[in-house]
Amino acid sequence: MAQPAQAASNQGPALQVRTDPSQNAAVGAAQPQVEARHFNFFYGAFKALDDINMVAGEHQITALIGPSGCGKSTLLRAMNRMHDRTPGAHSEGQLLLNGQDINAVEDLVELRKRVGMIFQRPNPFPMSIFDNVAYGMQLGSQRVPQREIPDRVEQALHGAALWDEVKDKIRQSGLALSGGQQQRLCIARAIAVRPEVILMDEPASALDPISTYKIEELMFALEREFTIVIVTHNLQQAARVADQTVFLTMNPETRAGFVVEAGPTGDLFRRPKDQRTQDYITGRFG
Amino acid sequence: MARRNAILAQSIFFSAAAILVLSTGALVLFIGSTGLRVFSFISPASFFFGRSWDQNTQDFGVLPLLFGSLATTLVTLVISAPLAIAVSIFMVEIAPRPIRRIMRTAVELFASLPSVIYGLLGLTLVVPWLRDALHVGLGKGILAAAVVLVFMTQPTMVSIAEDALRSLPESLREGALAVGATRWQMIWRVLVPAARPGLLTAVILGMGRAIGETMAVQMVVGNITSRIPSNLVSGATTMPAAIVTQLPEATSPAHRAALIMVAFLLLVITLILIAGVRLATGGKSTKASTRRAVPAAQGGRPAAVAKLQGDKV
Amino acid sequence: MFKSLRVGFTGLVIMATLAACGSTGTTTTSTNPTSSTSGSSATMPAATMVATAMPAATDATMSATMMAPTTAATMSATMMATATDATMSATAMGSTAMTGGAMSGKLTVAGSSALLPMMQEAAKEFQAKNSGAQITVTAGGSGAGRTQVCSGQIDIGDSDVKLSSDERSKLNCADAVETPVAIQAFAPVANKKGPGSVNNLTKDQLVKIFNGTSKNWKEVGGDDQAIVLVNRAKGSGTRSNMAKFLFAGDDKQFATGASEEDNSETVRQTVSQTPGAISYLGFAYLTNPDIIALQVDGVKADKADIQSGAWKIGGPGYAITKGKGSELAQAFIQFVTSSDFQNSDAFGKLGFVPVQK
Repeated sequence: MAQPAQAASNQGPALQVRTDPSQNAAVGAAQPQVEARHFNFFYGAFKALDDINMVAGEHQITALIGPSGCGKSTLLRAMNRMHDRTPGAHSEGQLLLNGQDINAVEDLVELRKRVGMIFQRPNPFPMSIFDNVAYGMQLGSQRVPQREIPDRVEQALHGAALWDEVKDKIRQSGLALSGGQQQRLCIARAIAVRPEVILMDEPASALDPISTYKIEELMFALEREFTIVIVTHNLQQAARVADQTVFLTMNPETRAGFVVEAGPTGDLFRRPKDQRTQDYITGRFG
Repeated sequence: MARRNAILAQSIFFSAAAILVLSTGALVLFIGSTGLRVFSFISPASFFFGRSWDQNTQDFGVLPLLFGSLATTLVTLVISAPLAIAVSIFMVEIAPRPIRRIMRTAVELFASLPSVIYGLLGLTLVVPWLRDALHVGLGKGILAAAVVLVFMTQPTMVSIAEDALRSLPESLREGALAVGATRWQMIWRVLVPAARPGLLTAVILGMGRAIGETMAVQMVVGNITSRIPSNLVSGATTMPAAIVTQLPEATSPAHRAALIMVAFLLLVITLILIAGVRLATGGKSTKASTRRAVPAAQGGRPAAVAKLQGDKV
Repeated sequence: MFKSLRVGFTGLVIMATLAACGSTGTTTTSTNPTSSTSGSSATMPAATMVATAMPAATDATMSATMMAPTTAATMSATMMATATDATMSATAMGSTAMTGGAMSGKLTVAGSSALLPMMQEAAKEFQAKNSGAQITVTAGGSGAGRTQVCSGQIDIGDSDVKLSSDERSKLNCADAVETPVAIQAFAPVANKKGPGSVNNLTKDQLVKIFNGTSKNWKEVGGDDQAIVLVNRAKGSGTRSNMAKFLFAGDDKQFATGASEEDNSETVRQTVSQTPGAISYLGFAYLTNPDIIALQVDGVKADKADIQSGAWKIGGPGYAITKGKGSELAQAFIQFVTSSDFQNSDAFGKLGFVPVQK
């Protein structure tokens, strides 16, 4: 919503694609951290994802793109089993975290500490900034000792590039921050528990351009420590931040989502192999 | 044409509002002025600090009534508020849909029962039960009234608390789960604090119901006005119960004025409660700066509450 | 949903306030001939005002008012009628279609809830004979009956007791005429547990029980069971009659701390379920199997003994007019006291004893 130029820039080859050489050098060499193998997902009888195969490499940013309803959010949310709350939701095939089947994990709390999540709308808890960040560290079987928590909170806030803005009001309500700050607070909250993977579900779609820019900058920094999987509607954003991009679309008859094409972001945007990808990134689709 | 309709509509709404405001004002004025006449018969000190209310001696000390009302309400809330919050949490966060539907129906059923039925149930079930359990002669008193009121306040409290919890954004729940909270940790540390204004409203409105309830309380409280009750299980009275018991037979002008003064006190207490609701639900978020920050998690304040208070959501 | 609750809350406030004004339509206990129900709304013009301003809050009241067209002056009395007992205004209206009968006009009667069913019956029969007459009978309590007739808000006030001299002066009612219309009898009643084999108490024993001196049934020959006193509320006609018998009318001698109930039905219920309980009830309740009606000084409360005067608890209920009352009021009272009506089956079934022998 904050990207008025998006439609225009989608039309031509003017799309700005990430060209950071050091990052590109890592492409291909990265270990797969999250991997889907013949993964199917169902809401009751409805098949939402059909035979998904994709990889999110370690310390890389992987973008999931595709038209509305193609199942990209469903795929993302399957990665930390957020669907467990939805009656009737179930899956087939494999979804692996470091080779371990996510759906076989028994301790959901530990899984979610390993796979954090940032949501479309900032959702700080109704408590102080400090408590928001400390919240996750005080849960589960491997709690952070109380005396370490203040340092860890500060580290997380530094990590989310928020520390300088909030260091004087750390005991004030997290709800009093601006939308962009709230989202970075949520990022701090997520990284405080030191996850392996951070899932981001359109993390900037509710933010203004400057806040969006800050979040994107932050992602490059976070990439060094975490594996990031991001769902975005904003193709520019995907092109700017992602090392790898997975393009999903929906079967027009069954409405099940499937992967059309996946690969290094530069290749996918500049030289799409599939006509549907080409149509989508040039705005003729969705 | 459209303009005329608009004017017509506007004047209808304006008149309706004016009627409401004027009649409320007239009500307060009438009750206040009639009630204050009691001070031409007895001194304010003997009314407000008198420890006995007895028409035989023409003593009209309001303390037995006031104490009875406050104690009854307090005991009711101590049981009723945690119960209502627990029930609403169960309905919103835990119960599967069919059970939730059954519970909602039950709550609505509770709400539709006339208070005399609660009184009768209190008289035939609660009072004997308390009498036998506690080995007191009669069983009527503040505790019996409170037990009856617990059931009577549940519909109000549960439906508002449920509303408050239900209106919390799903992302708040997911956010808590995503950092590794269990369901209970999510409920207690995140949802309940987030819904606090709504939950507080529920409790305050339930309190209003408890303090104003007349018939059911009168049937089980014992209606003893002549002394401040020393315990929860010997007879006592509440302000509305005393009014309804005594007004029909109040032939002395002092007695009648004293009873209407009690009604005025009741009115004042109720107004304070309403002010409390406003404070709890909206008092703090009138500034734009806070408003802007709230959207992510403002669910604690149901949209309907905001609407009621006449400000824009 | 929330909105409706808020409205309900406002309604609650209004009802509480109405209750405060005395028009306690909310307090009706049904199915019981002597339940004290509504208060002295006629003394409170604001009650009418509120009802008019807030139609939603007093729905039943408003529609009922439309049913029985009355003048503004009698409106609040009519409100009471409908709030108390919907069938009542129906009976009051039922006769207008009939023809014949000399008397016409409107009459409002209010007061004693104990006398209510008898007055309703009388109104029904009177209107059947006088098609032009329209009589609205409501309860509200004896006190309300006395207060309202003295202030001129109603035509006839029903009361279980006479006006006190204090009331005559304070209510500006020196010229009140009090006509006995029926004899009401009251008797001590007890729970089945407590009296044991005792079914008769002397007056002295009763005095000691009700003033709190005797605290256990064994003191009067019953079981070892604590006595639980249950009173009617101060000012009730039933309680006044009991005080007249036990304490020469001095209500202060009743033991303090006994629960006080608003109506006979609650008393019956409480006595029937509370071991050791004792209270008193009107004649019509005495045959109730849940409770024991006690004899006093060896006399049983039956019709013959009440009429002969051997039964001492009770006395006439009165129809009170300010001055002699209107022609219609006089005619109605004459009808009520006529031997035709007093000896009718309907009259007897209601548990009253004729004033005339």
